Amino acid sequence: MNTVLSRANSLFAFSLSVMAALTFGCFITTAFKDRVVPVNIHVSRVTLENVEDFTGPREKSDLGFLIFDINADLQPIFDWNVKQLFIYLSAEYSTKSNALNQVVLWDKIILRGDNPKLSLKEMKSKYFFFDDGNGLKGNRNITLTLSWNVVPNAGILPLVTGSGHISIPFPETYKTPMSY
Amino acid sequence: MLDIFASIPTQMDYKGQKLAEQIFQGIILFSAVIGFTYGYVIEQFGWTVYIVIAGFAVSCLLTLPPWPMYRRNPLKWLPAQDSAVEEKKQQEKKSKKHK
Amino acid sequence: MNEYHMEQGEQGRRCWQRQAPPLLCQQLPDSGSSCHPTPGSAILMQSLEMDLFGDLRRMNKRQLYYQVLNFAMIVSSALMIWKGLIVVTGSESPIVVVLSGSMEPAFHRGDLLFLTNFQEDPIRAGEIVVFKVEGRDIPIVHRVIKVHEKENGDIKFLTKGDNNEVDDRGLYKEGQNWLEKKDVVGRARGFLPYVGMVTIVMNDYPKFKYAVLAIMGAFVLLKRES
Repeated sequence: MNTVLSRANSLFAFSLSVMAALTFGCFITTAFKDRVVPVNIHVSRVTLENVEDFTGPREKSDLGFLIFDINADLQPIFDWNVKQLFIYLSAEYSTKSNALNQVVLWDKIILRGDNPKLSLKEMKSKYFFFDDGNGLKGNRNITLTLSWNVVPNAGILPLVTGSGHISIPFPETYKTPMSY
Repeated sequence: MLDIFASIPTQMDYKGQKLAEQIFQGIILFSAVIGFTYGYVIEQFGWTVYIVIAGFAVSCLLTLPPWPMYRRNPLKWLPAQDSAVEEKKQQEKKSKKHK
Repeated sequence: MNEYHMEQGEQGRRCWQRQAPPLLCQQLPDSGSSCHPTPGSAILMQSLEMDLFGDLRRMNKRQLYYQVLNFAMIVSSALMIWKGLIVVTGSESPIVVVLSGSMEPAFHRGDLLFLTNFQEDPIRAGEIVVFKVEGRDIPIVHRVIKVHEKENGDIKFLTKGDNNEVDDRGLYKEGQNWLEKKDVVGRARGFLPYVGMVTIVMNDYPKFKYAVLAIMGAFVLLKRES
């Protein structure tokens, strides 16, 4: 504390510890918050094809096309420790070869300050819905859920699934659109 | 030129050092409390950070330079003794012992 | 930090030069090492460098050993914490620094991620995983977008960076379409912004790194514990 440098050093160290404590406080005030909100998903049309998976494996695989609507208000999720939400629509189903399949069909990044109200109409999926094989055809139970990954200013990175998912059956034949 | 630099005071006395430390701790803790509450209310952690940085800047200004208020209790030193006189005294003592 | 330390002022220095009586030294409140200079070094202790070596010169053997042991203690406790974290989290590198912008705006260069890799924890779509690809030294942090898991637990998955247009198949080894459990270094669980910036600067400017390490080492070894 006798020289300018040693005072600057202890001043800086003290400020850093206070900042660390504040950051921890910010994390702890939001760590146990429930971030589930209701979501409304509607699928209007599904088409199925059987083509070579050109995105990678080069094998004949089932490829689904979906047209969907999503309505959700994500405003309650945001607080002072949320930097962004990564929201994604995923399809979950089981086939003969795989007990569990999860495919992300569509995603969106919502930063703090962006419009948190989702109202999507007649959306096409952003990524190809290829199955690992031919398990989509005639699959009775394909579940669509909207989930989000909360990215904080500092803290944990929880994955939350919105309440309200739908399960749809897929067509029994290729290239015949199925409407709901 | 060098004389000017040499004449600038650079040190605080002990009480001044203690005062300086108390002042910057007070300012930063105060800005931390204000920033946390304000950030929590308006839901912007960025503002908390800015307010603490402002507190840091203010306390840098107030406590880094050795302002006169930190130099009010200078140490009292014993007067410098002339070493020549001292040596003489000691020699006198020695010679007395020898006698 | 709470020790009020007085540089020997002009008066003080003059006193020492003239072999001040010991009484004067005791009159000073305990001001650490500058109170008991060896006769020859008192005048020289003006610059920082001289002060450093002055400290060293004033140490006896016992203090020197203590100093070295203290340094070894710092290094080994850092190592212990790191290895302990590896055991607790199950991940071979529990704390990583984000080096690229492929996950922006979630993670920027210099952000810190805390990873866990518990084997019983399933890998699911939407999670952020850190994985190693054969032929690449640096692990990649990306998000899982496709998962296929067999009855017996064998899992294959595909990843993509939030800021990238396409999935990661172009990054994998040629002909590799899926990642497996063995490729995973950890799953991102915690996030701390900016803290890793120090390591990024050090990686970008290796000379700076060595300078910092040398200065810190010198201070720990040469500066006497008070």
